[in-house]
Amino acid sequence: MEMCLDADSPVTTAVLPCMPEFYQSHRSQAYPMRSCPRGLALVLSNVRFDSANTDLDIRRGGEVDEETLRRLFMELDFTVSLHKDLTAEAMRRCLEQFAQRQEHAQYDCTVVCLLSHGVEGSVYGTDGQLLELDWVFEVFDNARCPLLQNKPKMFFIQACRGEEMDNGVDQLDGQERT
Amino acid sequence: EREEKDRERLRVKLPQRSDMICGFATLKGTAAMRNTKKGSWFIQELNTTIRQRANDTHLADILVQVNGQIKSREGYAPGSAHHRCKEMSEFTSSLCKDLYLFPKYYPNN
Repeated sequence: MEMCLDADSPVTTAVLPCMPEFYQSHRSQAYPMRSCPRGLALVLSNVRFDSANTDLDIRRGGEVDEETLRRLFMELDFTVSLHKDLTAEAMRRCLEQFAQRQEHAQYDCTVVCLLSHGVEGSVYGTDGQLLELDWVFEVFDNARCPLLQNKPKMFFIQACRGEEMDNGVDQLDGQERT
Repeated sequence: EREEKDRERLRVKLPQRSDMICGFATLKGTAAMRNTKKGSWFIQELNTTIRQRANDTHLADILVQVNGQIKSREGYAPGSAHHRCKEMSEFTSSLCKDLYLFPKYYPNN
C-alpha cells in the first residue's frame, strides 16, 4: 500500500554540469565515469494491476515518477528503457535480458529502477505475484553479470516495505515550526 | 604444472556481489508515500537532488541528502488519518569508490 498526499512541486531545472577542475580533482578516488552514454538504465513501473488476480490499487501519480526518471537519466546521458505494467514473470525476463545486454561491456555503470507496490524484500508484478529484490541483485552480481564487474550498479526502489504508516513522533524541542 | 600454479596465483577474485548501491523509498515494514499529482516523495527528492548536486556530490552523499529531505516531509491530507504522516528513506551500499556521475562532462571532448 502507498499513500498519496502533500503539496510540494517537482523540480525540473536542468541537471547542473560538472566542471573540468572538479573532474580532475576527484577522478582518482572515483569509479571511472567517462563513457558516452554513461550506461543503460532500466525503469520498470507498475501503475495498473490486474483486477482479476489481485486487489492492488492503481498507483496514481506513478506515471509522474516514470516520466521524472526517464527524463532525469536521459539528461544524465543514460540510454533509458521504460517498461510499464509487467507481471512478475515478465519483470524477471526483462531484468535478465537487460543484465545480459552486450552494451554493458562499453559502458561505465548501470541503473535499475523498480516502481510498484511491494512488501519487505519484494515488489509486486501486475498479476499480484512477487518479485524478490534479492533475486534482482543476483542477476547483476559478479558471477551472473560479468560485463558489469567492478562497475557501479545503481538501484532505486519505490515501493512499500510493509503496511505500517509512520505517524511520526514529536520532536522534543519541536513546539513551533519555522 | 608450474604455469598452472602461476595462473592460479595471478587470478584476481571478486566477491559474489559488490559495487552496488540501492536507494529505498522507505524503511522495512513501512508504507512509501506518493503524491497523486507530483509522484512519489522519494523519486521527487531523488530527482531534485541529483539535478542540483550531482555535479559536485557523489551518489552516497546525494542519498544522504535525499534522506534529509524525506525526513522533513509530511503528508498533507487535512482531516484524514494520513495528515502529517511521515516516511524515512534509506540506502545500502557495497560501493568501493566514490560514485560521481560527472554530468555532461566528457574528458576527451
